[in-house]
Amino acid sequence: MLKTYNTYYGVAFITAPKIDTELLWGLSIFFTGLALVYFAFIFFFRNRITSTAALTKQRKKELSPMISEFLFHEEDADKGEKSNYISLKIEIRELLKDNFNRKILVEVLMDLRKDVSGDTQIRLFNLYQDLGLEKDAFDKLKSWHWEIVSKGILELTQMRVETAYGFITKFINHRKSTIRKQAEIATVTLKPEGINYFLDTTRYRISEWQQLKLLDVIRNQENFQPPRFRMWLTSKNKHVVLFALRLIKYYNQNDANTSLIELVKHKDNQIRNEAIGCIKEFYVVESIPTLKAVFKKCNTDSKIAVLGAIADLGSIEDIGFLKTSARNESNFSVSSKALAAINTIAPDTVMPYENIEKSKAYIADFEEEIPPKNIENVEKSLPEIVQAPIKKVEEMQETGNIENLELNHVLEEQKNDQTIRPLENSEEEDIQIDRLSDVIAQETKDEEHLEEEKEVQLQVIKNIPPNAEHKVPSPKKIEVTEITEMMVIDPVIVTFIHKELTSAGGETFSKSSLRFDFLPIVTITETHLNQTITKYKPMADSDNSSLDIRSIDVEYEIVSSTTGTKAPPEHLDFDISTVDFLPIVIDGKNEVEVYNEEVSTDQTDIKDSPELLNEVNELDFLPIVMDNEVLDEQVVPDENTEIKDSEDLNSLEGYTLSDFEVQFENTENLEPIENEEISEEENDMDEPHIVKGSEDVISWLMAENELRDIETEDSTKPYADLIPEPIYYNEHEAYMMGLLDDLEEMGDHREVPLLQELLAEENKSFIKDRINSLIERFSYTGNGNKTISEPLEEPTIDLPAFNVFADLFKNIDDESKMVLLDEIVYVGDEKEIAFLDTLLDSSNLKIRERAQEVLKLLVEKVSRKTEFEKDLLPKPVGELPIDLSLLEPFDDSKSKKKNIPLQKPVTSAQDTLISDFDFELIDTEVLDKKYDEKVLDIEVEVTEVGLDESSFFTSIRDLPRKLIGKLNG
Amino acid sequence: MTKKRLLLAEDDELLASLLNFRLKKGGYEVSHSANGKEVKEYLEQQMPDIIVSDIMMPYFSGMELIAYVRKELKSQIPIIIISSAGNEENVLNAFELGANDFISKPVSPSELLVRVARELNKI
Repeated sequence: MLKTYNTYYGVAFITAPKIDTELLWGLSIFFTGLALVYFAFIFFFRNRITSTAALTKQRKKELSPMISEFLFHEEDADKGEKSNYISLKIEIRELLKDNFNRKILVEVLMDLRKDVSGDTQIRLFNLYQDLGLEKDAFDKLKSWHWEIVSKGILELTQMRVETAYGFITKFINHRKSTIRKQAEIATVTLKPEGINYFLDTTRYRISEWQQLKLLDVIRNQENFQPPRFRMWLTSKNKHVVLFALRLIKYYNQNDANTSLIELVKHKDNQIRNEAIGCIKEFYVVESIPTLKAVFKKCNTDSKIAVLGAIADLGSIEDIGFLKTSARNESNFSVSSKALAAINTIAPDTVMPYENIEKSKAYIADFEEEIPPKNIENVEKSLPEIVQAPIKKVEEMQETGNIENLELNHVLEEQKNDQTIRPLENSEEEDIQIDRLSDVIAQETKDEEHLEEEKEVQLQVIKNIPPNAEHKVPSPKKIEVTEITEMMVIDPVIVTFIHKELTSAGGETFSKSSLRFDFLPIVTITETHLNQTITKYKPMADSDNSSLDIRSIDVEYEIVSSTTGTKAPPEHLDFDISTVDFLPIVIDGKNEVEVYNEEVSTDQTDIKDSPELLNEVNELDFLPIVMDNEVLDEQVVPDENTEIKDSEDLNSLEGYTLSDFEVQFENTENLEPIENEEISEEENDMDEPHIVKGSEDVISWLMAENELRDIETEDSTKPYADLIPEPIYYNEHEAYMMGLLDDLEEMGDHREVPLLQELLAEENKSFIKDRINSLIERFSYTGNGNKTISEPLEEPTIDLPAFNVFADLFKNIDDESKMVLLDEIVYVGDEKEIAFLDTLLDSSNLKIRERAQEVLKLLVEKVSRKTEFEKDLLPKPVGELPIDLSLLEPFDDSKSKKKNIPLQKPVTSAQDTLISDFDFELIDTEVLDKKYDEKVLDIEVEVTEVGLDESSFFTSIRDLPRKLIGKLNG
Repeated sequence: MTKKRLLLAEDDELLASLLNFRLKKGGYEVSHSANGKEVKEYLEQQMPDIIVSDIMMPYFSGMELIAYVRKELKSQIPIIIISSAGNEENVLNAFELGANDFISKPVSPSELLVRVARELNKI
């Protein structure tokens, strides 16, 4: 079958199979047919969609004026309007028999709901339910398709059908998220208590967006009283907890502080962060220890949140923790936040240090006045001491160890300041020294500045007379410059103030203008001759960071020396007796070394220095103050205190506060914190304020163990008077009170006679009061304004409660009543008989007569209808005595004929036969019962008469629904 | 007493129908235009006593309508703007162009009636 075809050039490139032409033709025809069918379908469906859209638009146009009429109908309208209203009502009922019309009407109402507000919106909701349109939405809830169910829920929610609440709540835990979310919104929207039910029952995740939507719903609810959301902080669903936390924050419910603190320990970071947010919002200071305890276990976000909370709630005591955090944290954001927190608690504690330019302090030009030779001479004799602090600072700058700078003069000021609390622990001292040393380091970087300082000091020394023992020199020209003075503004805030005592213009200070009599007298040993004392006293041991701030060297100037340059005697015009109030400060031999760890071993013995002894003997009237002793005395007690505190920390049989916290954590939701870890954390934190006495721990434990009700006798005493005296009943009283309790709980107005009987027999006043209150209570009916016991003043016609005509009848004038009675013949059914029956007792003769007439016609009509239905059901469609085409749901041509029923004469009962048939909604009874849950669960057997579908297709269509109904019981 | 003429420019048929009904019931002679073109044509022929207009309309927005009435027609008839986009920018723009009032959707027809009456009483 194969044949080789040659190309144009005679070269065989392709050997193609020979295809049967018939097959080709067949395929062509097939695909062409398929294409035609496809296009036909497209054309058909497109046309159908277009025509449906056009029809929908047309129908909306027709329905919207009717809806407007319903919405804005007023009771006090004139006769014409009322008549028109009634006819519209009838017309709309006719239209609603058609599913398409119902669908359009629902669409219209839903659209209008979005555009109108206020009273009109409320009327819209009422109209929706009055027309029974919610039935369709209820039907949608039974669908197998999730999108239909969702639409049904949405419709019921938007049209505020409160009776749907019970049905919709079932979908809260639906596996399909769309349905679930719709049900959540509906539950919260339909009833104020919906939020409680939702939070109680939901088992699924509540997304952020959903939370926002729910919040929006409850936020916009009128007269919404938010429940105490702390109740849901114990929920097993973490999303509920999270949402509850957000709601607590939103509604400022600050009654859940203990729970909030507990939730800080939650293993979920989101909950933890939210709890921290609430803690910040409500300023829960008690949470700080917990925040610190969980800090290490947190992720970065939570750490930042914790630090933020500590910044807001913390005090100076927490700076140690923040400092440790800043130092230990590798994450820049966290460490930066820690530093920011320090500055929040104590502003300007951490100063900027990056890229700060060196600046020179302004100092007067001394070089002009000081002969360089003299300076050189003095400088040679005092090179080490003068340069020591500078070198030290430089070294520290290089090594980065800036903590060891000598800051005693600052601390001295702090000590002197009565308002400043003495530092009690090394932690605070550390932080101070750290921060100060930062600043100092920056200052000392300026070498030139230091050089100038050095020269100034030398200048001072130059003017000191060499033999000015026990006397303060009184130079004619004294130029004193304090190099740098630190001023303690706050216990932890230290700033430098450059203070120039020397006048800028090189002005000299005379004795009278510059008094030195406030200065202590300082003697110096031989080894320290010509020493210049600087403000920056370097610490001998850089590691001795625990040096007590109170062990500060006294600021002094050298006034004498036993050897060396002698000062002229005439300079000693200062009498020491004038400063006898001053203590004698003896500078130890190894002044620098007294601050190191070997203080005790290197102390200078006064006895070893004969000059000093002499001096002391001469000045025996003065108290002797030895700075080394002061140092020792002050350092040691601090250490002891610390040890004591540590013992307290470890008291209560070796448990720490955190250990107990761990014991009472919720094992389900909260992450257990191990004892060891907490201990380690505490050690790391070095937080002395966590250390509490054993009493505090016990009270805390009691609180945590919910033993709050166990109170000491002392604590109950003040409240004893507030507790009411117990009331003891005798047997009869107890019986009566029990009986009344039962009646109160379960009784109603039927108990009134019994209560009155009891009241007559009873002689106890309090029981009588109780009975009276019950009688009063039961005497009121549901609406609360009409007592049963009261006789009716004037007999009124007791109209049926759920009759549409009865409803209308109440509010219209006599003329309208007559019109309405005429309508009953057309549109009414057996339900109206009872209503008409009541009208037979009417005081109005005309109404009575008309009612009688209408009743007669109606009974006749109903009886015929029953017979007709009997005949109709078993018979085939063709044998029906009526033309079913007339009962078709909707026809354009038919719809144009408005008010057809009104045009029919009232008396012609037989003509109304067709319109009477299926006028009422098939399942009106169901609607009338307000869609009671039980009723709605029962599958309604719908007899669809007049639909354009045959019964076979209808039965097939309804089969799944019936099956579902049967499955649902 | 002659009825006041009110031009309702609203493209949403349903809402327009509802407002139309309410305003007519309130005693006004209402003309409805569903888009900007119709509004313009109407205004070229006659001037109503008050205009109630939506902002978002085909061909001719509510803002343009205000500008047209105030600048081209040089009329100071009251204009009430209805919009679902009741943000600050829109409101300010509307007032800047010369709108007399601004109502955000959803609209309360009763409220609209009161506002219309108030604006007409100002004249």
